[in-house]
Amino acid sequence: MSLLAIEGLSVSFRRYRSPVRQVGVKCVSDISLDVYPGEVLALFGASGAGKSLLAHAVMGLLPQNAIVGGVMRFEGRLLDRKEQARMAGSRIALIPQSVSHLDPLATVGQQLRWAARRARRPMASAGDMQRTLARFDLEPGVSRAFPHMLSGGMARRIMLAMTTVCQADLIIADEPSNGLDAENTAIVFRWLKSFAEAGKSVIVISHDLAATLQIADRVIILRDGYVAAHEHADAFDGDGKRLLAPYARSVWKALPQNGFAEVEA
Amino acid sequence: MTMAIEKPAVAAPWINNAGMVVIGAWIAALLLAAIVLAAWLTGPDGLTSNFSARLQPPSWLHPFGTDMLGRDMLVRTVKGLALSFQVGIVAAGISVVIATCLAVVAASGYRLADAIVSFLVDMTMGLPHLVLLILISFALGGGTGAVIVAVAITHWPRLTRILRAEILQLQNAEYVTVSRNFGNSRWFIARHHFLPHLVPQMIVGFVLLFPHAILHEAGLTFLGFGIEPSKPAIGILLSESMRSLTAGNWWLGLFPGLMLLVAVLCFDFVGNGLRTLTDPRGSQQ
Repeated sequence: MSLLAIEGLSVSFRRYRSPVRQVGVKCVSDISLDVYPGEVLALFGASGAGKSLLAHAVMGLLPQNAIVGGVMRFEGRLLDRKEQARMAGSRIALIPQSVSHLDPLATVGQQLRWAARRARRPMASAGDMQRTLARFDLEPGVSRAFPHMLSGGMARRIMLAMTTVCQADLIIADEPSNGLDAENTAIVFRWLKSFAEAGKSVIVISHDLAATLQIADRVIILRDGYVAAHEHADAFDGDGKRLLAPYARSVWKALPQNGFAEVEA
Repeated sequence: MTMAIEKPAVAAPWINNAGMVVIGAWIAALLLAAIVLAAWLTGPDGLTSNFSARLQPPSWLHPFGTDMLGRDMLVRTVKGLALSFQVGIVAAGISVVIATCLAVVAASGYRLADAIVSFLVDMTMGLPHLVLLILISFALGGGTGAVIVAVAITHWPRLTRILRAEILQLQNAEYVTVSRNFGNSRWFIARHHFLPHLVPQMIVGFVLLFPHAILHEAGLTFLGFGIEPSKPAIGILLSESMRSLTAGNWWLGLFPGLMLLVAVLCFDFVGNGLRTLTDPRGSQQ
């Protein structure tokens, strides 16, 4: 059974066209996907394709004026607002894009403890904290640092650590390679893969196809808010003959190592 | 590969910007403590009249001169300042507490609460300060307690506005949204996310309110609605000095006024130091 099932998800925003006329602006329409335990699903697409919106819709983080349509199920149960509030942060974890998701005036250790407590798995001792940090190659002293003292790579590790302390089953990583060099990206991706190998589901949102393919089992390509392609990761191979969707083939061929061909409109 | 926060290889200068502020704050705090201690130690001795030494200009025996009853002005000034601190700290403190509570209520997300608090703020700010002060102090029968209450319940609106705006801004911060959606209670968010951000604003508000409170205390007393004339409050000293300023007794007004100025400046230093110490972003200066 799939861990997370999304059927016909659409997200639109209420907006005022004139002072009195309200219109709905559709950003994501009719997206269906399933995520199974132990796999890495890559959500790939250009900026504005609706990748982050999808993640935020699952977490219930959309702003007030958003209208969400469709059905989301987590472990077969309907994921409504109440269920989201129960699951988010404990069973479902988000690895956010930026440091702005960390409180600038609380130490990293404090925020790790909050994350653990939120998931009802409080950290009992200083040893727990040290083990968690050591898992991500961070020294114990880092727990006393404030978010603004961290580099981009360290901040990303802290956010990875937060998902492990709450031992979530579904991990959504929003642009985990953003602003990291190839080496750090590889490290972060290896950890994400290890989460999947431990039986959890991982959704990786990225616009770096080459890097994502190294860990992904399946790839969903979004384009202007709808699913443009749904491929197996092994199909991205050679000249892309095994790819089903023309858009996926076009994106694959546009990579520098595959000829740099122009993406068909 | 490990990442750690290590000590910098280059030796830091022995004192930095924040260090200077903190040292200044300590000196100022010691000075303020010395004034309070001196006022407490001198007892009632300095306040007895000595008609053989009336209206003496500053000398080695009486550095601040003597008043028309022959009382030493240095002792009266120190005692007056100690009383003013008491009024200032208590009144400003109560004001800050009122402002914080109202700001939290206003920014809690209930529109009606926000409307009521905003109306209260506008109304209090719209009324002339001094009229309200005189009214409250008079209604409570005058005295130190009445002055404290009057000053405390008229000085919160400005800080309430600042704190409310600060909280509203934080409500939209991403980590607060995440925290709220992850099921943290309103109390948890207020306690762990909002309060640390508000402390610097509260300290600044307190520091700015303190001289205001002292000056209003002096003003009320000067007008005769405040502290009883037998007590050596700064306001009483200044109002007395006005009566004999034209006779050339300049020391009666100059020294208490100067001391009030120095004390307020010292207080400002202490507040600034506290703010520097409580802000983690200052650790890199």
